[in-house]
Amino acid sequence: MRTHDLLDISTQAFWAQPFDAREPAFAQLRRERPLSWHRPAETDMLPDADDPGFWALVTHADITAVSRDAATFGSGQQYGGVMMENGPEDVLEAAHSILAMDAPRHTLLRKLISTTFTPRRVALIEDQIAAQARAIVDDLAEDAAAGREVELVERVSARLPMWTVSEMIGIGEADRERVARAANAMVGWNDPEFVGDGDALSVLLDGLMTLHTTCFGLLEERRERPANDLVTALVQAEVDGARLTEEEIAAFFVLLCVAGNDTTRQTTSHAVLALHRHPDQAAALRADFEGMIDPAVEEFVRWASPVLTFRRTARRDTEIRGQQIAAGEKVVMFYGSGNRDESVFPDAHRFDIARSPNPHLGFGGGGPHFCLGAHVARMQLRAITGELLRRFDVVDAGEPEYLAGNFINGIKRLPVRLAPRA
Amino acid sequence: MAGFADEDELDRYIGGIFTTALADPELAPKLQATGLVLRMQGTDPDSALVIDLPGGKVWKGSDGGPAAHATMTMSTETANAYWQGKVNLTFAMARGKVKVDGTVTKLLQLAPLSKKLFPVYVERLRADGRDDLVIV
Repeated sequence: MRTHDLLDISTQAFWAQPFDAREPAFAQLRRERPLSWHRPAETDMLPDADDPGFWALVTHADITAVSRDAATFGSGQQYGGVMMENGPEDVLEAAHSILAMDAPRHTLLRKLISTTFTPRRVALIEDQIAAQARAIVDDLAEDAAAGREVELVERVSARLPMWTVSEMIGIGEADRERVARAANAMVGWNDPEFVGDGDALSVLLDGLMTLHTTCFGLLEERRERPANDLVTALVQAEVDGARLTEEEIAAFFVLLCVAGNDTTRQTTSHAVLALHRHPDQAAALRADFEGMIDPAVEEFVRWASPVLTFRRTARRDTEIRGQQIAAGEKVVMFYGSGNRDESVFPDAHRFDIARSPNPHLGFGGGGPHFCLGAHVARMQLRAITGELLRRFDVVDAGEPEYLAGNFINGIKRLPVRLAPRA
Repeated sequence: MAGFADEDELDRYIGGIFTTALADPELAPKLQATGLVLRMQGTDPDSALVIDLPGGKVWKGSDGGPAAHATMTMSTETANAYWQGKVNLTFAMARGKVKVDGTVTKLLQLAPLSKKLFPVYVERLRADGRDDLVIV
């Protein structure tokens, strides 16, 4: 048996640390062992004594190459999915939708879904996103004027994604909080706050039940009364004579709720914190917002690396860096590490809103699974940071509370004090 | 879709799956290691099984058996489909077709093992001339 790397990146304790505390381990791997073999991620989700481990992909080049070679590196349910941990197939089918799927099925479904995610539909929502960002930031005025501390995640970061994704999908006001909470819990399976006295799988499953029942209810409503939203479009969508089943729509609904709620939310918090900690960058962005916001958003996403990992499984014997990879072996892509790869990002540990080029991996490494919502995410980040910078100074930020786990680089809470700008 | 006629059939087919699996040298230790006692409560018609994995024994509901950690309630029609790999447990739960009282985690963790039993079950139905129960 191949020996596991002594640098252990598989424990829950490792992933309970903040990003910056984990990064030295990845920096060392990038420098000394850019391809390394590790013991399986520690988990109580679906423990498997026969799991031999995984290859860690920590460089920008390897992550990009593997992302773009889906013919060799699969995502299908039959491989146990795309998380570091294996998940039960029933859960993957019900929650991961096209994320845990390969061509030709993936191609067909993604195409079908893309027809509902067109630039035109996204453009329709742009003005609404801007208005909503304004309203969210308006709500802070009283606390800012009084010098009261506000909890940024709940008051700002979580709100715009929740609103946007709900509006696009067609989730009614009454269900939004509940759906966002469920989506949030679904990425918290390694965090004691979410697990409590239960276990990882129960956390996932509870979230899943909430999202499914909400979706099945919505489907019934939209069949009777179609609306201008994604659920209606998904019900009516047809590609090559194929329609989506209710179950397929429900699984995609879960994916959208999680991907839509739990990524931009994190990037927003990380961006606000980074701008506070790098006042020169905040000043530069304020000085020329229209000129700087596009590269700044890319840097926010690189800096935040909201999704930390996805896994692929070798579909046939292959080779990476001259190392034999046997069919069935797992490779885990560490996006946060790729986003700090010094060979691609000069001075990679510097937060630099003018960074150019900035080929970050925050939306994935390219290929068929590249983030479908990248455009919407950029739009949201531009709107919310723009409003915040225009209206307020962050005069003080407390210690962020980080989410434990190997999947989402989350900030659960971030207390800040704001001051209105003259 | 068809279900079972009575508890004896539920025992013969669903119970039979576990009896077979518990005699399998590869599967038995894994099933026993779950420590799970599962009650399968069938509806249409009312019927039940108690599957005692650590004890390695299947009881008909009417015959008693040990107390269960989890109870799965579903129609015999759904049970028949489930063991052929045609039912996603999480969707079925959201639809109210399968109701689970007790720990769902262990049930889902059983899934990779259950999957190995699907072909065994279909084979048994066919061998018994019960093609009416086979879902194609």
